[in-house]
Amino acid sequence: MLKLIARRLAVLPLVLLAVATVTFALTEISPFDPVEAYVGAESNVSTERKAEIARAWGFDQPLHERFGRWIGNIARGDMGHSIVAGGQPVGPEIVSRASASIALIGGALLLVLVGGLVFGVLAAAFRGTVFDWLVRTSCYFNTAAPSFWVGLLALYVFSIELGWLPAGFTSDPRSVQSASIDFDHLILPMVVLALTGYAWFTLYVRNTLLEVLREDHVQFARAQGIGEVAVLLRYALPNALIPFVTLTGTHLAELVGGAVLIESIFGWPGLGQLALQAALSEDIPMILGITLCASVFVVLGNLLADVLYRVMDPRVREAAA
Amino acid sequence: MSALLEVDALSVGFRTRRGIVRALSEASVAIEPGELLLVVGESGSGKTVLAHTLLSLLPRNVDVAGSVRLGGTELLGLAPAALRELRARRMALIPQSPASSLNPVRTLGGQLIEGARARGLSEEQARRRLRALLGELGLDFDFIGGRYIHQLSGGMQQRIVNAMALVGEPDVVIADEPTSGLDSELVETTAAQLQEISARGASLLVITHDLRLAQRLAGWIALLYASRIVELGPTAAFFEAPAHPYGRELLRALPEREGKSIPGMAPELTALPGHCAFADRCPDRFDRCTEALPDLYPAPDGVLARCFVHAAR
Repeated sequence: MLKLIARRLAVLPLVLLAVATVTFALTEISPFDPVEAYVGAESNVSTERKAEIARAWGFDQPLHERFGRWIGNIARGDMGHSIVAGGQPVGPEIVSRASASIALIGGALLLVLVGGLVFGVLAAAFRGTVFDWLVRTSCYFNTAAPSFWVGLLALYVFSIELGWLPAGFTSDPRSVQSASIDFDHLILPMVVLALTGYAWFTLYVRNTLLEVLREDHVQFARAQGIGEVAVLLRYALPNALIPFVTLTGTHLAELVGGAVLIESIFGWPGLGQLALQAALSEDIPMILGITLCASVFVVLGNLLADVLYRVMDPRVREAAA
Repeated sequence: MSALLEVDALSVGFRTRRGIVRALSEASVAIEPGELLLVVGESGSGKTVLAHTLLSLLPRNVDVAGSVRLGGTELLGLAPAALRELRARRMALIPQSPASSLNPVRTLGGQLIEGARARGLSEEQARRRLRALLGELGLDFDFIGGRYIHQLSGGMQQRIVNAMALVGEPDVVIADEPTSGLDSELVETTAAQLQEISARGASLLVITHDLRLAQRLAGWIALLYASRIVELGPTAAFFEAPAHPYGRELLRALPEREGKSIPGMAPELTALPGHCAFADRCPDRFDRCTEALPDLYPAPDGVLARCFVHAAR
């Protein structure tokens, strides 16, 4: 187990290097011109002055030197400075936004897991009933509905029409501690983000459970007179949860991606919103920094899933040893 | 005086896309306390379905008719709670494949104790009895308890399910193909263990296609062919002189006898004939065999045989 963790952590820098290379290459071939982004589209800065800025930033140097310097700086913990809006350092800006994103994604993941488990288990327990049909139908609708549309609809219904929940930000902007995260502000974006994953998880739990319920060891448990609830929760569920854990790891990446959309709809000042702003304002250092941070997040999530997978399945544990 | 386990005119059919698969047709058997009944037949003859019907473990797409009574209580259509109670307190299954019959991701200790507790024992009693039962079979409960099923040898797995079957001191033990996939040495041990179970006073229903195991265990035998019981009688009499041509041909097919397999194939269970199902393969066939379905007729030595040869007696 420790060997697995050590091995994966050792690979992490390589994964990040690969991500960094690809993102760097993408920004390089993109039509974004950082100098243009810096001076603004409608400025009347002279061509000579622009060339001067480019030189000051090192754009006159060859590609591999720029890439090397960037990677070197990152290795020392310096991700550079934003080239728009005051030129604040990228690292601290990401850290200050991260807590809002972690609250949103963490909350959504928790909701997805709990909701998926509860409804998946109940649907399997009452398979073939109206309840099962309702759960499955809601899942299909859910999968079919794009999350930005669900988000806007939720915003319209619950914030604007009903006025039950605030429409955006992490807390009331008029309050003293406007940097804190209030739960009532979190509810809408968290639920909408969770809805994107809920259907998958619920159907997954339901179908895996139904499969496991047909296995020999479940039949044998029944033959011993063990009650149906115990059979479901103690004999079938542990086995169904194993693939579920892996799914959680991969789904984390989807949540991170989904958060970009949801954060911008709800004005949630997290990394997703920062990423979108950075993309729109062609703020290349910021885009690179956020991509790297998201990669770390996803890799660690997958590592956690792999560790749990081994904890839960003795067969995998032994095969790996 | 009624038998401990009475199966009366039991018919089981599976509703499938290919039509109704007749797994059992009007099967009737009875087991007295302490008796051993072998249910023998080729694969697909309805043996395992009988075991699963007795334990009400059949899937949903199934039609069951007839009656199964345990100590006078009708099992078919019994309320789930009462059924669970009966399974726990009076019946036990020795499953076909011990390796896949225990949860692969839970240690055995918890499962063994949970199974014993379902049978009404306290945690303390469960521990004590499992320790004793496993000890008799040469296994240490503390060693077994912390392991997973896949970490044990086939012989150990078999002994564990045997101990699990005995822990509740059941009236009826149903062994479903207890020797399938075992090497000859393990077959020998398993046979000895089944005899031991029988000697403890439990009624034993052994489902098998292994004729050598059947001969070894003796008791009574019910021979199944194409969903029907074709011969029912003392096992010794069957091995001496089978009353039904199918039984005779089956014994002839044993490698140590003539090793000559029966020509032809058993009929499809979706399209069973209205006449004797063995007629097409029977060397003794006469006109009547392809015209009507024989009943079970008395044959010598207290045997019943579903063959017109015995109809005149």
